[in-house]
Amino acid sequence: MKQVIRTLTLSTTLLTVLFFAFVLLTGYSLFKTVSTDQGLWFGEYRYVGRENSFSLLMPYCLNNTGHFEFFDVKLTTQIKHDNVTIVESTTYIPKLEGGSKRFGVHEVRINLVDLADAGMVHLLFNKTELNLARTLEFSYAHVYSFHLAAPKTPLDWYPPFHRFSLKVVRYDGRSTLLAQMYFENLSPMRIKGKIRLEVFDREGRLFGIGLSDLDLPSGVVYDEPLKIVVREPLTPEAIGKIDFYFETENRIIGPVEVYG
Amino acid sequence: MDKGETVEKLFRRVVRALLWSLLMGGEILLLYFLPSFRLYVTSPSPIEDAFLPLLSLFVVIEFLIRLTEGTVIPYILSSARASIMIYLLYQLTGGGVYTSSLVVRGVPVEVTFQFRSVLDAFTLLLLLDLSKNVLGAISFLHEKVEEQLKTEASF
Repeated sequence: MKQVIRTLTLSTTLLTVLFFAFVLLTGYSLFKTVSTDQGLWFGEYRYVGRENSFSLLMPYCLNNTGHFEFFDVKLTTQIKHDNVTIVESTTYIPKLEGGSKRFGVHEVRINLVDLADAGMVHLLFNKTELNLARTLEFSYAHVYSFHLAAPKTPLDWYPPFHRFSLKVVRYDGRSTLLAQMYFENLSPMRIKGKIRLEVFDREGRLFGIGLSDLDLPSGVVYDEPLKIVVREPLTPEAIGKIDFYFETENRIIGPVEVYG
Repeated sequence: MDKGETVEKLFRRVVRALLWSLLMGGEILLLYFLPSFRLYVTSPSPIEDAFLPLLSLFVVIEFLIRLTEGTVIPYILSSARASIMIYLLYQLTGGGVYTSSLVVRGVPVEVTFQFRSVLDAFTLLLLLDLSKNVLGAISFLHEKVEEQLKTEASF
């Protein structure tokens, strides 16, 4: 019995010492990393415009000055409007060994298709404020896991079809309606695709279609006439509504009623 | 044994118990109440709330254990301490998940810190300590009974 107790005492003491040494060492190691100026560093977001999309780029630096490894580092950004997630992006670093450094750029890309998929077609036309939610998750030394959530920050949204207006200016009396289309591309993206207008009479019958190629850089105003070919004679007064579609390479966004 | 010897023995025992309790966490308690120490080491309230009662309990029981050495009481106290520590650790730390709002480089951040595996490992150590003390108490009582029987037999 005494031998058993002596062995138990010895092993308990030894394990307790090892346990506290481990806890202290991991705590000190993590503190060393976090307290370093660029231990966990995240820069400011920067806008980069692309074709029918734009990116928010955020530089980051993880400098593991401690002795233990970081695992499953996930930097996630969500862009929301009225609590509906429009887009979510995650940068994943599987492992960052002790004494190593990692620089990178976290990218969140918003494209027109994302907006359409999230049922936010109105954002193509209206200025508003979105929310940016950021979280950072990681495991440390295989035993601790952290989840850090920054408060939601407002993100100004600039629409690509701002102040959209459509006026039917002329009818040639036979097969062509001439419409004047105006909008401002306030977004950082270059909008490229096809605009399609579908004209309906007051009974809801499709009477004509107008098509126009579009390639408009950021910050440029579009103010061009657009021809709508109608199947039967239709005076501007008889128009019930005009639906707007925007066709990109692989998707059609719309319809949005823009006239009537 | 005269009265002077008893007092001296008791005094030695108290001093020894004090030294042991100082060694087993008392020094942290003392540091903790030093104003200069608190200036540099600040912790969020929930951790502070959990840390102080746990450490105080640990130190007080350690003092009592050392004071009552040579009886069965230290085994009982140690077992009780291990059981209470397990219960309090899980209660006060929410099962090893701690959430708090901290200000990191001027930005208020909600931090969730999970340390379940560390808590589980410590619980295992406490259980090992508990079993050791139960066995120790049984062995101690067994020895006492044997001694008593030997004394009775010698008469």
